[in-house]
Amino acid sequence: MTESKRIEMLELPKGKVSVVLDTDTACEVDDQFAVAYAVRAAEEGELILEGLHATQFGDNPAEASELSYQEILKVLDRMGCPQYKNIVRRGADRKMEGEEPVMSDAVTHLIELAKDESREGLLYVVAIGAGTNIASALKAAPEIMEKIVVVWLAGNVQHWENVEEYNINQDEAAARYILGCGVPLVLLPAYNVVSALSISIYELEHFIDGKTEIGSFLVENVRQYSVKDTRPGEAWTKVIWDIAGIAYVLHPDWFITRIVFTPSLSEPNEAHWEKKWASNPQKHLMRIGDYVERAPVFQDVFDKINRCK
Amino acid sequence: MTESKRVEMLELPRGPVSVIIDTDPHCETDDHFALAYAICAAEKGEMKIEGFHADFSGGPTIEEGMKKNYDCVINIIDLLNLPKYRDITFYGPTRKFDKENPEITDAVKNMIRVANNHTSEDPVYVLGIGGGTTIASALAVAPEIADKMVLVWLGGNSLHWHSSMECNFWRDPAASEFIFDSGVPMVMIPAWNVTIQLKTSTFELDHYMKERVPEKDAVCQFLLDRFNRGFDPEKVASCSGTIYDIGAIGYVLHPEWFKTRLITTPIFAYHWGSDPYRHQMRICDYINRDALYMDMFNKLTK
Amino acid sequence: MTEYQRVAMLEPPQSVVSVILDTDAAAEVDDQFAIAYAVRCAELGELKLEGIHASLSDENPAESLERNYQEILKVLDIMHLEKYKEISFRGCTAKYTGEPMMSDAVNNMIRVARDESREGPLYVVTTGCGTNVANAIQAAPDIKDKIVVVWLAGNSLHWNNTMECNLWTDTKAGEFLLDCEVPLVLLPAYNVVSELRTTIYELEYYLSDKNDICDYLLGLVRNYKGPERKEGEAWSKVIWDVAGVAYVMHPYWFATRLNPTPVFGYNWINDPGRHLMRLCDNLKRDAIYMSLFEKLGGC
Repeated sequence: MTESKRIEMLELPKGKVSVVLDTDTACEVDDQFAVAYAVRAAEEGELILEGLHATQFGDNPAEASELSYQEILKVLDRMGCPQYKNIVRRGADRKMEGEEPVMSDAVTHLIELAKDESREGLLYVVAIGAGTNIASALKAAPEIMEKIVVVWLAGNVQHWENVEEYNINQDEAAARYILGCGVPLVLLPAYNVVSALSISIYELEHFIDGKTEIGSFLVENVRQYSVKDTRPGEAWTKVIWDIAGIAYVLHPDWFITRIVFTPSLSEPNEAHWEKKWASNPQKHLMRIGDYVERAPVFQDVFDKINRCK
Repeated sequence: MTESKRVEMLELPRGPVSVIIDTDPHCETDDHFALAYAICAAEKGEMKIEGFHADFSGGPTIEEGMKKNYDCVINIIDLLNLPKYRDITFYGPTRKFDKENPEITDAVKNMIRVANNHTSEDPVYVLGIGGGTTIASALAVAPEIADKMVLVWLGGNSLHWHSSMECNFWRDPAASEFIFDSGVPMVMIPAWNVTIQLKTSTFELDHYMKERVPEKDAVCQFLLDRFNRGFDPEKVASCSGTIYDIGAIGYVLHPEWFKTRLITTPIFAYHWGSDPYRHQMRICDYINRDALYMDMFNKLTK
Repeated sequence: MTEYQRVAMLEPPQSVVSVILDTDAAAEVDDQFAIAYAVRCAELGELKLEGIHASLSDENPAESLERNYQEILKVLDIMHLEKYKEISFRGCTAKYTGEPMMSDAVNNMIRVARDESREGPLYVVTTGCGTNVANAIQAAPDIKDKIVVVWLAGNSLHWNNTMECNLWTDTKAGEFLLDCEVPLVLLPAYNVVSELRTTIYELEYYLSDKNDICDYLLGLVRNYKGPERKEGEAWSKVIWDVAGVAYVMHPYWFATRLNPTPVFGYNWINDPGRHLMRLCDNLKRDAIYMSLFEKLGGC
């Protein structure tokens, strides 16, 4: 792919775009928000949702992937939107680790969707978990690179001292592949960009608790999570990381982004067990998020959830 | 000042330290929280306040705006019923900074007097949560105070940001430029994308500040009312807000909650200018919001 | 060591400083210039030379080390300054492993560094790989606050890779020197020290018919067959290693600044919060060469 083609594909999304959401839904309590947000946006005609793909995480990837799949179905039930179940796919049952792609229904589906000639415009693959499915699809069918833009919540900003970030750590080989292969990539860094989407349980309760089944479900998840996550002496808030990816394709105007050289991940060794960004000013370009405006994102998420029947 | 001396002064503060707070509360809510937080911390012996300096903002004239800010400081002091702090509250500028002819205000005099009572080993921390007029004027009148003080200035934006445009640094740009060039040891806590993440909401404040000791009831109620101006239960933007200024107070109390590093001081301009040969300063990249807020809640209510 | 102590030690050297030259003398044709330059400066009292240390320089560590050591002695013979052989030492015969490996050079470095009578730091001008210095610091970590390492290594931080011989001949040593927080002045090969280019014709003009050492150095470049000699091009040769000696003699010919120390990798790895080092961006080529030619011509 030429650099100019890549830059063209990295233009901010305009209008109603096609989206696949790739999510480790059972991992934490924020993916469920993202699934609900994406489905509601589709229901309201703001995007075309073509896939809801489960992915692996943690020490037992096969089980985690299945749990994520089930969690997507659960969210759809709570929303009263079972019609979306036909675009839900099971994803990777292991981490990529070596060179071989990890094939799964999700990967096959992603390749199929990317190759669909009937679509005008690009397919936005919003990845809010490990990169396993996406890297596998790109390895199995490199030509889809010309059709998709990967919007990935991963890593930290480039002036951070390390890149020890969950989504990257869940499949380092996949991460290296995504950063290296040249697929048009919008990277939304965890610290300190998406970290701005933090919220207290009290604000969540005010806006969405007790209004809809899905709203109460989401708040209850966070409430339970707070029990184990609260640190003594801190006024606990939760970052709802994963809504950022969907917000980006709906409203790129809520973000400040720019084009940079794609960094590489350093190879950890004994002296440096932490991965860091390595700079290579001759690598291909990508788009990086510097900022997300918190209030409109949460407003949109809350409004959409509250409009759920 | 040698670079090594500057770097030494930029070591993380080891409290309790002496501070001066330069503030413009009239137009914003966050200064009020910062002032109350600082006074409560001082009352617990965690810092020593040696001056409140009123910056200008809020108009209609510079002098009137400055006096409004002064009154806001007095208001917080009175709400806490601690009149001793009235004696160290001073008027700031009636005009903008002029390098050739800096205005010698009460605040400038106090800053020079206090700094001269300190040393490079035990500097006074000037916590700037407004514009730079008083600070620049004091440095212009008495350049020798540069090695007796550390400026912790909340403002501007991170260096990879597209501009430095932010209220505090742009209230009096000539003052900002002078300060960035002066070589005074400076810790910069940028608005975007750092203190902008010091978000809270009506609901969180209600939760943590509802119960409070009687002597702090008045100030807590004032702060809540102030925060809730324009409250609209339907709107996230109206129910939530950023209390930027507690960042500067928190830094001297608990620097371990602040992720900082040394960098070369940029050139102050609308687009940050880069000159990697300039003196070093410390910049903040991230703040542990949850820890800072809990400390503030504890100090304001207990 | 605190950051401000490191920054204080990284102030440009002043007056007559103590120097150890750590060199892979026969690896190329530039180290010999650096040795002659340093020895001549010492003779003139412009620096205090406390050691000339041979380092290994290729995949046959012991063999290359011996070759480099013999080359130091040869340069001293040609200069008729045999007395400096007493401070010439063999370095380590194997690459850095993390376990300290002693050698005459390492012992001398530690001994000199610990000399309490010296004012100011000892400058260890390293014009080869980092093996000896890394071993000395590993064996005696206390010398970190007594020495400043001036190292020709790597490339500028905006370069697309770090591929450079001194850094890559012994990568573990290199990584250690960047990590261990010793005060470090980094003189990058590209695009900084690479400015020290000269040609046969310039060397002939300044060095012909002067003395034995000038003849020897000129002959080395004339017979140079390495990668920098590109037949068919108007080839020039970088006399890399004189930069390290020139820095301690004339720091103000070098544009340097404080910069967070990068982490070693094929590409420089960012860690903007790491300890500071002094990084060179630029140097005054003509002034350095004039000084070099004057010193060599006066031998």
